[in-house]
Amino acid sequence: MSILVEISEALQKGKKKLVVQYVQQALEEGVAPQQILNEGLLPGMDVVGQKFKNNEVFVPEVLVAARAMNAGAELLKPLLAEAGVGTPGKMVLGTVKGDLHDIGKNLVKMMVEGKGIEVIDLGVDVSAEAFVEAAKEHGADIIGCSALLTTTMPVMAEVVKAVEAAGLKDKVKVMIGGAPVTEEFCKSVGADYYTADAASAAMVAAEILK
Amino acid sequence: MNSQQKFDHALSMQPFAKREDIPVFPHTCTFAAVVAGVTQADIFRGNDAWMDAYKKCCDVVGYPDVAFPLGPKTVTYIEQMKVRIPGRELGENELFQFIEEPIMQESDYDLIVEKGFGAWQTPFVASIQNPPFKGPFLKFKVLKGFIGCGMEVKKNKKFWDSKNIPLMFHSGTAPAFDTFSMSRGMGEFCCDLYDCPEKVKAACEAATPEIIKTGITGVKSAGGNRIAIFAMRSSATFISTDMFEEFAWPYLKQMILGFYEAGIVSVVHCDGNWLPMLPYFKELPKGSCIIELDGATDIVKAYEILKGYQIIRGDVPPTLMAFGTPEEVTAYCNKLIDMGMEGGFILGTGCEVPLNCKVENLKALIDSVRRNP
Repeated sequence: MSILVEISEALQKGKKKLVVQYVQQALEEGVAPQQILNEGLLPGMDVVGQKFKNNEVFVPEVLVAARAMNAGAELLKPLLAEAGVGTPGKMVLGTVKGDLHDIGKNLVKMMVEGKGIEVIDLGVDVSAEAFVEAAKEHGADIIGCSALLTTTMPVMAEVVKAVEAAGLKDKVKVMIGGAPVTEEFCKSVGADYYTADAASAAMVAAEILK
Repeated sequence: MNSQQKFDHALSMQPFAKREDIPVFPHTCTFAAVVAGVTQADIFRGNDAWMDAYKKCCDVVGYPDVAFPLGPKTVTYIEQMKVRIPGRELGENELFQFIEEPIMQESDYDLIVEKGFGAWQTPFVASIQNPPFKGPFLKFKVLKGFIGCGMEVKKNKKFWDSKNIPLMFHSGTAPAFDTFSMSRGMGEFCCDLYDCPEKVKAACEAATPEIIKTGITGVKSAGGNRIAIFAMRSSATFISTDMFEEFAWPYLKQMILGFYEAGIVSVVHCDGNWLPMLPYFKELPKGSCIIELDGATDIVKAYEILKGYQIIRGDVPPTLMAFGTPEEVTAYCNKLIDMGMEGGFILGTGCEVPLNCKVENLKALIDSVRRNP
């Protein structure tokens, strides 16, 4: 089995120490950091994402896999930066104003990062203005909004309007999600994409950035 | 039938003769303030303020067949999580929200095994209060909150008894698995399930008898016979059935059986997708549980699985209550009523009525069992 397959499989099992060990080994063997990322870590997280979407694995499996991926990616980060390797794009992510729930948002972050996309996590209780400001500051391609309360869902409409008002409509896509959010609601507020779960969010984000 | 008779009939799991015999329970603990024209901060001031709002709400939208026993101040205390409260950390009219922080440490599993659940729970509950309980008699200060809860339920029960309306439950608790998940924080706890699974299980095993004992005391002191079990982290929204079998079900089952032996029905608050977990409830004595669904579980499939075994309550989704029309709510309820006529069903909202629910939607829900389509 190649070292890249070993990395992918260890990641899928959430074996953080093994992932670190294999990434180090791959670097010592002269495998390029970008190849380790693109053919080892990211495919491993892809499998986890697909299984999560299909209800074959659940939140704990995703969390330990993400932990393993992050541990491996930490070793690669300085090397990738040195080589001038960028990410396919950036997402500004947060739970909307008035809402302090972050479990769903954190899952989306892990899954989107698993696609190699840079995520700027704004945390919880994020206003429409703060989403737009952060998108401008970081040159984000996507704004991701999460909500668990029906009372905070209307903030998603404010984000859409704020993006339009800032003249970013053609540059930044707005994705929304969260337990009470529906496709119908997405259409009613004019957001670009609704996804029902974190794995789908990552897949859609990757598609947007293709 | 009066409300008490409807509820008893639902618990017997015998078929309903008429649609109006199906009891209806909209969970309006916080929404009551909206209808009563007071703020969320107002109903957090104490039980009397909350009961005033609850009664006003019932006067406007109609009385339920089953009542919610506790005001939000007490609910947030017994759920044992750090909370932001309207009028304190939040605006006067915002909904309270729990804050999940990794307060519990990995070493606390060992503490629970060595010294018992109370040795961890007392300082934990004291630490999450705002301001935190400090100084001597910490155990008494924490206990006082739980005793206050029992007294509050007892007082409220008197009012509802006079109307022949039963309370949904008389005290509340959570399984060790869910308590640890919320106290450790989701991320840390999930890693614990991989990094130190035996410690987690040992702590669950050590904690469960104490949780049962405290739960029975709470219910009995309120003069009741039903207990809410907040098991929001044990669903397939979070974990696999393998993990459920290993970490959650043994102790949840032990709790439900322990309460059943004490003559107490468990009201299991099943937020999230519980469908894969529901067959396990067939292992329990018939009628030992009321399963509360929030719209994330397919209630028709759930009813198929548990019909004749356990009672189901649910599940008009919050999104429909907030953004739907009365006609849509009525249509949804009619489907549930048709499904539930075979017995063991209580019509209700999925979890709690959201603060932006339309009053006419709540009326539509309550009226749906009382009016022929």
